[in-house]
Amino acid sequence: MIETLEQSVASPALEELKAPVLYTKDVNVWYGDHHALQDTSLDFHKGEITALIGPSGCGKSTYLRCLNLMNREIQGCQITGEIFYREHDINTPEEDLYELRKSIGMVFQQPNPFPKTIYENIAFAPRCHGQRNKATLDELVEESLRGAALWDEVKDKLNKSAQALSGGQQQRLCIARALALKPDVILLDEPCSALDPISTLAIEELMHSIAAGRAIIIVTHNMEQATRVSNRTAFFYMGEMVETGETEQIFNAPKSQRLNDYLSGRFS
Amino acid sequence: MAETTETPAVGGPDIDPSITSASPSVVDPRADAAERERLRRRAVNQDKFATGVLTAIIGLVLLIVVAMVAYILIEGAYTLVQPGFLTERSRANGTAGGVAYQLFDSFYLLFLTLIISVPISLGGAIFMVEYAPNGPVKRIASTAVETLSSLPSIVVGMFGFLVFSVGFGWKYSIISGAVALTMFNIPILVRAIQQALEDVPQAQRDACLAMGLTRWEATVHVLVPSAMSAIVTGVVLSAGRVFGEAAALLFTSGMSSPVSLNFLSFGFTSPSSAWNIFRPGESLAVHIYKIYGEGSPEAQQIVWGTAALLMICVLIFNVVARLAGRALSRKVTGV
Repeated sequence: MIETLEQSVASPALEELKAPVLYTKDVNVWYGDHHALQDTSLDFHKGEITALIGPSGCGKSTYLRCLNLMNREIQGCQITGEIFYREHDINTPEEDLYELRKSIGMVFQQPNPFPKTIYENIAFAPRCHGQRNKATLDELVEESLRGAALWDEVKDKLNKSAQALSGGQQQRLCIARALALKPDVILLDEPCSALDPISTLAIEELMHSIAAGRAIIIVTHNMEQATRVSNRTAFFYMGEMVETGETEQIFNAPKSQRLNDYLSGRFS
Repeated sequence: MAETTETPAVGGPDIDPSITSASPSVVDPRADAAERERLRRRAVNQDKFATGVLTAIIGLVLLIVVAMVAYILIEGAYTLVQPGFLTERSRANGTAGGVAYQLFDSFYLLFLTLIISVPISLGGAIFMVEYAPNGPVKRIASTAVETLSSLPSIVVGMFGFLVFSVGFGWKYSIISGAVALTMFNIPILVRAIQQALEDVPQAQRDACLAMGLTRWEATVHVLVPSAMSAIVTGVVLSAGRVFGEAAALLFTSGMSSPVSLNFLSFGFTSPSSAWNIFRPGESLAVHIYKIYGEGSPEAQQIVWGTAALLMICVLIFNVVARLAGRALSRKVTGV
């Protein structure tokens, strides 16, 4: 803390990098009686990509869905603990979910573009949030599509249906759609698991470029992917966050026995 | 198949397990070839038999439909092509004239029914699918819809008569009929729309909520448009059923149109204005019921003609439902 304080005096920009934009303290999740996630505390910084790994049902997606309170949409789901975003706890009944989810974007496992035109897929949410100026929306659409490395492929067919795009293009459109709301955190829930290797590569390359000025948190089953894209990794097992650290350390020098077993394929 | 009979059979992997398990005692490799051939024949025959029976059943269904449609068309064709059948009003006792007013009343009733029942059903279905939490409220609501859909239409008609015609003082009127038809139509529509909304992938809802949209914004801008082709198909199909309904209308809209209707008078309160919703009216189906009792050969001709007309209208509804649904879904998905 003291160190951070000193640096903040020296350089405000650096302080921005050091203070986490989003962090959790002892987050627990119950689905009815099932205790799905225990005491999870993690920090996320802007400019960093964090991978959440672990076997199926370990709680990594559950944790991800706490960060934008999507779990609140599930009947019978209860979240306890503190989730700090921009220095205030969002896990309160008063939190404005609509405001929150504008600045914490999410991309899902299956590409889920709306059955609308490519243009509308991007312009739709900003318009609902009050942006009605056509010129601004046009600009926003182009900027978002460029941000998702999709502009050159679709610029001539913005008025065609998004569902006619390929799976990989659809997923990049979903990323563009999230970018259009100018989020500073983006959550990705196994974004490549439904895609072919080439589309996967495109998304991974994209991840580095969108990480500038944003915290990226990605759930993945694919450990090579975690090593390729992430700076930090957190390993979940049986509803518990077992170990977290620099990605290199996690994969090359795991401290806990369970992570070691997982990495050597002793369970999956 | 020839290969199957040549290979020694003991533990042969290409034997259908259901056949071998039926005769597990087969072990002798020499006797086996004959035995396997017998089993194979049996399986083939069984398959042929089942295919034959099922084809016959479906053939019978097709035959019934084709025969009925053809019979009604042939019987009705003569009347249907008479000049004036579609454009003239009916005469006393239905012994001559046309069904122009009945045709108009049928469409007018249908139009009013849809105007009332579509918004209500849409609201009900959206509540059930998007808003109601799983629990007692949802269960009670869906039981209520099911009950309403299983009420005999004559009972709905009686209720409409007592409440709207007598209670509200609407007498025999188009609006009484339309409201009775609405009660008959709501459960059908709610279920069709509910099904359409449930078929929209959950991922679409998640995508909306994750972008900070409200449930209402998601419903209006994404879910209903996605479900639109199925909703339109459901509405048009229900229109076909409403169009042919007679029992619910006998006591509500009545069994006669005014002697003369003025289609150009838009004074909605004038008794002779075609558009007046408080005048009595008679649908094609009710007309069939009424005229059939007359017994004269001329009346019989009119009945067949009306039946053919009614059937053609309903068939057109079904074709339109398919075409509209397909066109809309193509527009939405762009493929």
